[in-house]
Amino acid sequence: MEQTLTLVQEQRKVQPTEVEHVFGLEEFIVSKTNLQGHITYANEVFCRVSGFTREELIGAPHVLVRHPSMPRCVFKLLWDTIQDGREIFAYIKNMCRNGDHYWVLAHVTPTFDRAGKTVGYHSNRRSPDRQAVQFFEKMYGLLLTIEETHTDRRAGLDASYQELLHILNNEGKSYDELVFSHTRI
Amino acid sequence: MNSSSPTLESNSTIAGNREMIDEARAVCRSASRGDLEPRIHAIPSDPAFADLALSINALLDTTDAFVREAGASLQAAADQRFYRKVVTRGMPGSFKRGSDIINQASNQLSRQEEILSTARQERLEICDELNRMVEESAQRIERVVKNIDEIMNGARVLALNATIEAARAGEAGRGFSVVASEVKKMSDHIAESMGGITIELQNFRAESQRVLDQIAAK
Repeated sequence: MEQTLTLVQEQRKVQPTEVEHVFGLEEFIVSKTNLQGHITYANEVFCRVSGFTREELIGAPHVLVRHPSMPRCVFKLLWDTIQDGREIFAYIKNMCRNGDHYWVLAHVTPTFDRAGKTVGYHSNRRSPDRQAVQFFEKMYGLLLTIEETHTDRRAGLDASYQELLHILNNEGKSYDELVFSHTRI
Repeated sequence: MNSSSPTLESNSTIAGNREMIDEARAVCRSASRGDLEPRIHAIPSDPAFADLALSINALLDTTDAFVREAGASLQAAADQRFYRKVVTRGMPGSFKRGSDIINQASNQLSRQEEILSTARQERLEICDELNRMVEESAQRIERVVKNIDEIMNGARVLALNATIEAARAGEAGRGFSVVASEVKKMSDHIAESMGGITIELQNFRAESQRVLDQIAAK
């Protein structure tokens, strides 16, 4: 546990590069987490694309691969949705061990036990649609700018989340619908 | 992914990879019983056995993804959220073909839903039109009934006056008094029939309203 905390702290100091990693159209990055968001399973593709070893990933919080250019409001939407027992599709930019990055079309679903209780989360990440990446990169840039104009983190998150809801409202779509409308599946 | 699979090393033994073999057996057994959650976590250092473990995990990952996608997209189609298709990105081979078939079925459902929805709209419009016609006819009949009622009232007053005049005329007016009393009886009779028509009309309105509501609700 202490070791993984160190790894997250180490990772926060890594300078992001402009290098993008890609993966195949016929493969998934798969991970499973517990209810606290700690990784309990990572597949080979995850290790290969992110540059982390399986040993480093298992037990680490999923924020390990979070890229500093991602607005926090997207993760708020993601957590709110899956904690409500629903699936979500989201475009996410993740950071590799060495500061490079990779875009994914993430599909996150709660995992239920036989009694219907959520026991963890499962994430299948696909190779993204390039057009969608362009769209969401621009949208996330705007949301990140809003978050950064506030010195108070909480106020920044509230403001960018409101803007996200505002964008969705203008488009007349849910976030999922927006993802599907920009993705050639 | 790996075109050349690692081969067994001379010192590869089942005994040396016991932990992974036992886990693999348990994982495969769970999967065959429909629980696609467990994965092999004890990945051995021996490349061939590691490859076996990772291949089993990859098989489970792909199967799990397909099952999640197929279920969620069909549920979405049933809820008429037709935008939520199977995302075939990532799906290899047969899984991709199966996904394409589900998406085609969902498109078909979506088209049929559109046709049904148009038909429903048209039916609602016809019901509205019929409702309006029934209401107009009923109102016209009501006006006629009201007119007749007024005429009958006039006739009653006339009959009453005739009766009074007949009484004044004494014996000579007796015959006329009979006629006046008959006119009054006839007026009362017609007024009664008019009341019947009004009640019938109310029933007709309520009944046609009920039938049209039923058709519209279908």
